[in-house]
Amino acid sequence: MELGAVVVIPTGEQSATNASRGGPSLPVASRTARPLCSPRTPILGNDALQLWMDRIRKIGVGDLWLAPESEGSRSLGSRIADLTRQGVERLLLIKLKAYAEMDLVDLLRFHCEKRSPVTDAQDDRGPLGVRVLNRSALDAAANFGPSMCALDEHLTNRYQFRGYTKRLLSSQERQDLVRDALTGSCAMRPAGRQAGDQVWIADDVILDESVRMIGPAYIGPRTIVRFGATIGPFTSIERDCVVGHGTTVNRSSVLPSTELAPGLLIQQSIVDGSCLEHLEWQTVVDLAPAGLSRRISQTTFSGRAFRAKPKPSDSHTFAFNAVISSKQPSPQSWVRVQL
Amino acid sequence: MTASDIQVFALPPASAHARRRMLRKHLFGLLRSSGSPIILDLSGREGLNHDDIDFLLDCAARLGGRDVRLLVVAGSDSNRVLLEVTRIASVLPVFNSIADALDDPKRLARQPAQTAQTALQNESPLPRSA
Repeated sequence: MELGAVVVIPTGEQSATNASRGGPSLPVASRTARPLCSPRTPILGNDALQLWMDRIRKIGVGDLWLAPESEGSRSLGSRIADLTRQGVERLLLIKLKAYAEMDLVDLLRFHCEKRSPVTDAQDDRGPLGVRVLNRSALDAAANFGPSMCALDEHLTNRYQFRGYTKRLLSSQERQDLVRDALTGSCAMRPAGRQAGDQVWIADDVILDESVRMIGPAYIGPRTIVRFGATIGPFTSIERDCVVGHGTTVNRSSVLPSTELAPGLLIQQSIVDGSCLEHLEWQTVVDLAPAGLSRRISQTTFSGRAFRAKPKPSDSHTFAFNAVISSKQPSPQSWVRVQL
Repeated sequence: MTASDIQVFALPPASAHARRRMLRKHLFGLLRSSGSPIILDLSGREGLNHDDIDFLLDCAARLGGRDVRLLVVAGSDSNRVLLEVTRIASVLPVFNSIADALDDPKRLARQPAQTAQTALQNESPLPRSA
């Protein structure tokens, strides 16, 4: 019985909407501020999509489809009809909205034992966006889209997952995941090499000698941390960032391609370009009018652009990443990815 | 100390150059000569730009360890975040409202570069002057 897999990736606007559904609505100081947490935003150098793909590969699925959520349910239905014509009898449908250390083999075993058309994985706080559909549900989905199946409650069985989960679209949970990964409280690990006690530094980082690192902390590839800065604890500076002279970042995440001005104090926040979300005060602020941070296209030093040089041992990973990044689903298309 | 010893100034928008210049001159004069608390009220501002930040940092620098108390009323969470990010909140006491600034002498007493004055209790609301 052939098992297929589809990962649905929320688009930017939908990510923001879903995030606000999960908690109190945040005042946004600027209309130009973009949503801070997308499910594809790296977490300590990890890509949540890739982590799910690794889990899918381990259950023997050879390839999967990446689908943009922006497609309507009718379009999704016709795609699912295509899959059934290709011989798919069961479908693992993952909406990329949560990090869950889920044993997919156990989920499939549960689905087979219960013999219900749809199995929905959930934790104590609700659905995790992971669903298994059998042939009868696929036929229904082909006509109405998979959301119609979910409405039919008696067809759906709940798989209660009690392991580690975090919602990727919630800024607070994202920061909790950073903390847990840095302290070894979950299975995720920072992507760089360990350079000290609970300090991880990725390739091509430029760290001034005077920089104070307070673990647990992570600095992503090609990031520059300038004179007198303090990084940590419980801090993640993702790839291609610049941290200005004397700036302190603690209990915070700085998302890729962000430059922080000198002398700042960033705490309990997530900064993405010019947008800062303060997690304690639940406020989003645009730092651009004050000239405190900005989006940068790539990290430069002495007028020369730095690019990651893959190590020979990492060649498979880099090739894999290249496939994924070059196959981002466009708003209209599904993309097939070989695992 | 009485209510009349405390002066409250609203920070004009950066576009109001003349008012901003006048406030700067007056405020810096007071910071040099006065021993009374001064409240700088940002409540009317939806956000702070680099001119505002420069102005506030200038004020903090001019205190220079003197016993003058300059209190800042953020007026909004986003202003408060900006004051924290720029470290202004580390050198000047920041409050959510003028009432908070006047009503909480314990918080005032904990702030840096201040004398231990607790006479702000039981004082009436102040007229604003700019």
